[in-house]
Formats: sequence, C-alpha cells, structure tokens
Amino acid sequence: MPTAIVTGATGILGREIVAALSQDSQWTKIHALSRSQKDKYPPSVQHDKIDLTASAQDIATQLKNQGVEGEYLFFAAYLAKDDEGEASDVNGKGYNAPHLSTVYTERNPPYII
Amino acid sequence: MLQNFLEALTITGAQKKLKRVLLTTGAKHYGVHLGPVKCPMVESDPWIEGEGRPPNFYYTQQRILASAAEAAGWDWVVTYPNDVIGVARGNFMNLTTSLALYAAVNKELGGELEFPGSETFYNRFDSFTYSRLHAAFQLWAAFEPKCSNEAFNMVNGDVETWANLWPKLARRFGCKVPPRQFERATPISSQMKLLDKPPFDDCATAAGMVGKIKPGAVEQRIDLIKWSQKKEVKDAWARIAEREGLEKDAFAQATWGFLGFVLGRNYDIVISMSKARKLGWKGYIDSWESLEEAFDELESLKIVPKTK
Repeated sequence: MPTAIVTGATGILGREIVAALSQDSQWTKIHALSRSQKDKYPPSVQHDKIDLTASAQDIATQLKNQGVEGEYLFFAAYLAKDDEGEASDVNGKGYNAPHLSTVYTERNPPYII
Repeated sequence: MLQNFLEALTITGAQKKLKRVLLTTGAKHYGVHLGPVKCPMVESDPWIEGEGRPPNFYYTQQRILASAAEAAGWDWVVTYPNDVIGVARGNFMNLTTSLALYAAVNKELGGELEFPGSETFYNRFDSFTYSRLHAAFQLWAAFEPKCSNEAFNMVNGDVETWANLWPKLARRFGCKVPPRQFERATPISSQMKLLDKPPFDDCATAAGMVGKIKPGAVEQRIDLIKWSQKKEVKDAWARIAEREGLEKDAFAQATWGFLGFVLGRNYDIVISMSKARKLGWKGYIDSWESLEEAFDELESLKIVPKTK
C-alpha cells in the first residue's frame, strides 16, 4: 500500500495531486506539505507545516517532528517570481472532491496499476 | 529547495523509503518565456542554455534530481505542464482566475470583451494543462515502470487558439466580442521584446532557417497591469465583490503580468504528448471544458461572480 509526500500541497497543481491521491484508496498515507494553513483533509491525508526555504537541517527537524516519510515524493513546490504572499485558507473550507468525469480515458483510469 | 529537501530526507532517514520522486517543472523548460520555440516541443529537444541565454532553474532541479537518484537508488519522473488551468484556494494568481476577473469586470463596465493580448497570437496555437489531468498523470507515472528516469510533456491533448476560446469566454460571462476589436485605439498598450536569440534559433541550421528566426515579443493591446490600476476598473470590482459577496482581495492580488504575458506573447506554443502516449497514457480533456470546470469552482469559492 503506497504512501506519499506532496510538497506545494496548496498550490494550483499540488492541491490536485493531494486530492487525486486521497480519492484513490490504495494510498494509505499522504503527507501534504505547505507553509500555510491546511485545507480540511480526509483521514488518509496529514497536513505538515513545512518551510522549504529553510536549510536542509531545519527542514529535517520539521520533517522529523511531524513524522514525514513516504515512498513516492510528488514535488510540486516552487518559488515563482509572482508568487507573492502566503497562500491562506481563509475559511477552512475543504476543497471540492475532484470529479474526473470529463477526463476521458480509455477503459481504465490511467493511473490504476 | 529541492536539494535541501532531498538532503533533509537523508538526514531524517526517510530517504531510504523512497521509491520514486516525481518533480513538476513546466514548459519554461523549452524557453517558452524567452521567445519563439520550435513546435511541437518534444522532450528530446536540446536544452536552451549557453551564450545569450539566462539560467534556468528547472535545469538545475533536473540535474540535482538525476544525480541524487543515482546516488540513492530511487528513480524519478519530471513533468512539464504549460499554461495551467485550475484553482488555488487563497492564491489568486493564475490564468483562470485572472481571465474570469477580466471578463467579470468588463461585463460590469458594459459587456464588451476586447482581447487584451497580441493580435498576432490571437489566431495562433496554445497548449493548456488542466491541473486535475496533471494530477491523474502524476499518479499514472508514479507506477508505470517505463516512466523511470524520464521527463514528460503534460498538456491536455488538444491545441487551442484564443480566436476560438475568446468568444466562448465572452458568452459565459455575458459579454460580446466587438466584431472589429483589433481596429480599436490602444491607449494603454505595451510591447516588450524578448530574447535576441530565441529558443527556435538553436534549430535554425538543421531546419534550414538560418537568419529567418526573429525574436519574439509580448504585445498587449491593453496592458493588463495598467488596466487593473484604472479607477473605473477597481471601482467596478468593488461593486461586484460587494453585490455578490466575493473575496475582496481577489482582484488586488491577481498578478496581471502573468495573464498579460500568456495572451501577449506572439508565437505558437504547441506541445507534443507523443512520448507519454506511446507509453500508454490515454488521458485527455478539452481545454475549454476544463476552463469551464475551473470557472465553476471559482464561483463556488466566491472568488468570481456566478455566471449561471
């Protein structure tokens, strides 16, 4: 049963990776890493507050304190020039469950083994 | 960041558990921000480096990834999305949100939706990535053995033009496209020339096009940063936000420069999905449908006004 770490978990791409993983029951544990407050997550997802701009040692301390580990690392964090300000979840709303109904795949969803 | 993070995982010992690392970079890998690129872009294209080229941190990241993987024994995948369509809660700075706000304000100001970008680009091609399809791709690539140590373009699978999308955008937001929009005066236009030696130049010899490749430019008939600062625009947003109970900060926090670049650059962006398709990737979504889905979500998050 695979486990995952996702960085940039509140970003435009990262949040969908977290959502897709959480919708796929084979993933037993998903660590969603971001600097900002968490969205409401389902039980398989654990938010970890991590500052990736810190030193390796500092990051390691943050990771250790929150028990962050996984077999698959989805690295979607970036510091874009126009990425000003912290992302913040103003009202703690959970994101809508993604419906892949309009994502056309033949027969099998593409990510099932 | 990537390097420090991987090092941190080594320090904690978590690195021993890693099987695969999936890094997301993007089409700036091809230098789409520097000027005309050879289309379609394919993963085997040479990297855009050397004299006359700025450093590209995506290349640094990939090199770090490859060398760390070799040392540690896990493998990697890199994806290159482009012009991402999607929603980021609390981060209003993206293509979809900016487009929706531009349209909503124009609806409020009388309902004419002029294309603010480049007339040249209006009927040229762009390739978008829906954030949800990108996630599906990442989950597929995580388990596909043939993806080991490979980089992949990741776009929706169709190719679009603003000539096609703009009328649809106008219709959704209750606006009309002026039939002669490109004949209008452009009091707040801007032009920015891009790199003297565009990425396409690296193919010039092989393609038999030496001396024919001109630098690109970002041509905004309506410079969106200037537009966003106009009093009537800000007032219009304030009225909409008040009336519809929207996130007031959405407009002020939007980075109009990004949308201005996407609509204003004057060269094709065509990205090939052949490599992933040959390995069995079958995902696809119509880019307009993905925009509509993202607009729907922005409405439900009260970032943009309801259109239905």
